[in-house]
Amino acid sequence: MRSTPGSTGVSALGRPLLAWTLAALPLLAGGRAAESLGEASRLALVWIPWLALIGWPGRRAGGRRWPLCLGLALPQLALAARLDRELGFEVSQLLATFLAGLLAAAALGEARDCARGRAAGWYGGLWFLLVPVAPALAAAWGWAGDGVLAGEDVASWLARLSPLGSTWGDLRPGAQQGWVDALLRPSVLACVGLWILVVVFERAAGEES
Amino acid sequence: MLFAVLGLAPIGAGAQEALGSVSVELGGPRSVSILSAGGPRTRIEVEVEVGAAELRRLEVPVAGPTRPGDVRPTPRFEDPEGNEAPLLDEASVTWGEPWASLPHGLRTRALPPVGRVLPEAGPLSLAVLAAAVLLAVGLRRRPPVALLFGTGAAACLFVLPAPEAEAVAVRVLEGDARDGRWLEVRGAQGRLELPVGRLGWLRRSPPAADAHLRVHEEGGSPRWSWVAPGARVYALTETGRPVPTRVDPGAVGFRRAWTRSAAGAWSAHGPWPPGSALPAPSEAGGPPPGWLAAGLPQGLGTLVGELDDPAGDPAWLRLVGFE
Repeated sequence: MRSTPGSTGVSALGRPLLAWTLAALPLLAGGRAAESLGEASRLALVWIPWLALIGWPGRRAGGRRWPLCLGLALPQLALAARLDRELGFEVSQLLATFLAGLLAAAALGEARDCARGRAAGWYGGLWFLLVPVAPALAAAWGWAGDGVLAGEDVASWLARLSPLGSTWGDLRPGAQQGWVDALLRPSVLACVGLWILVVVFERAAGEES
Repeated sequence: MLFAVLGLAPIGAGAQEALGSVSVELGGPRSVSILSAGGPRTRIEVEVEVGAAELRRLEVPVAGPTRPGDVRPTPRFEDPEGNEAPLLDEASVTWGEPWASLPHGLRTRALPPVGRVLPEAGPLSLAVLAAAVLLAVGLRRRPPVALLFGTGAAACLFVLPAPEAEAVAVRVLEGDARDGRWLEVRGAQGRLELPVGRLGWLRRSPPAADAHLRVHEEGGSPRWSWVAPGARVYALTETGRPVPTRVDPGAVGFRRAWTRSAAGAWSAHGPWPPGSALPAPSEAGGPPPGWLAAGLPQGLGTLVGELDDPAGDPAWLRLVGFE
């Protein structure tokens, strides 16, 4: 079934269902698979595919899709948070991970769903830099720039700027952060900034036409 | 420093808490009480239903410091909200032998490693998760409604009672043949069942972990447990047992046994059934597990091994002074 603008057919569910399936893996893992995850935060592991895919620039199915994505993600996140509590994670850390992810996901999803025409092109480019490129660069810089050009600082800054890199940092217990600090993370501010840029582009395009 | 890094820090003075017992009478109605006693970090949660106008007498575990001269506070009950509730009986706490009365060798043995019990989603949680995704797919044309139902499902999943993780315990019998005393060390991840009324000592790892003693009822009988989510918990009790000799391992044999001579040479002996002499050293046995052989005093004969205990939990034995 081919998606057309305004349709909400089954093919429009491809991206949310892919994210749901990937996010479900750490929750369904048992035995050796669960052991291989060790004490990593299940909440952060669930957030990573959702943050990677909720703003994926592609063909629009019409209307706002991100509330549906969150409707699918929230039960997984709740279950993951409960497993993390049993693993010994502090409530404050879980709340920070959850709120930072929620705001970043909502901003990316809203930006994607309301970008049209030239704004969609700008959004695609900026999303590409922010979501997949920044953590990849951070990893590469952390490895190749070790000891030179303040490599660790650049890598850490790039990682904190990306929602994926920021959530990756929440995998380990012990990162104490208040919920206000969580909402002011660079990655959250970058996602909100991206959404504001898209809105500005859309308004400018609307005035031109 | 090296021992600390390797996780082999010996049991030092003050690193453990004494496990005592107190008989209390609880007046109803109440379902949960918090008993504050012993160390400032250890609380006791009593989850026992007491009906209105009912009095229940219970044996409750308490934890206290082990150093001589430390003051052990009087138990005090509180409601979960922190309001003090009357303790009907002036309680007197029974403590076991002082920690310092144990031989130094037993007090300084390294704690056994404990397998991690990782939490898993139970079938009920997975069923709710599956129902939530089906509902969201069905509501795909109305994303805000899907979000609303997703939030409801999330709330359900967060408050659903989680299946208690299986407490995989390890048991080590630490012996000193020179004075025939034995210490039973039991460890588990997160939660350890304690025999009701059996006194001894408690430890947790890491030492700063939040832990509590829990009393609940199962089949009408009170149960004690030592709970520290995400941490390792240990209970140490003095126990009696004949000292194994080279001609008889005692009532329980070994699945695998190793000896170390006073000169420090290790020998693997393989299985050692009850009622038989120590088998001859075998080349195929390999070395003992590192944690079992670590930190034992030099210059003394030693026997270590895995007990052939049909009870289920892994059980090990370490005996210093084995002739």
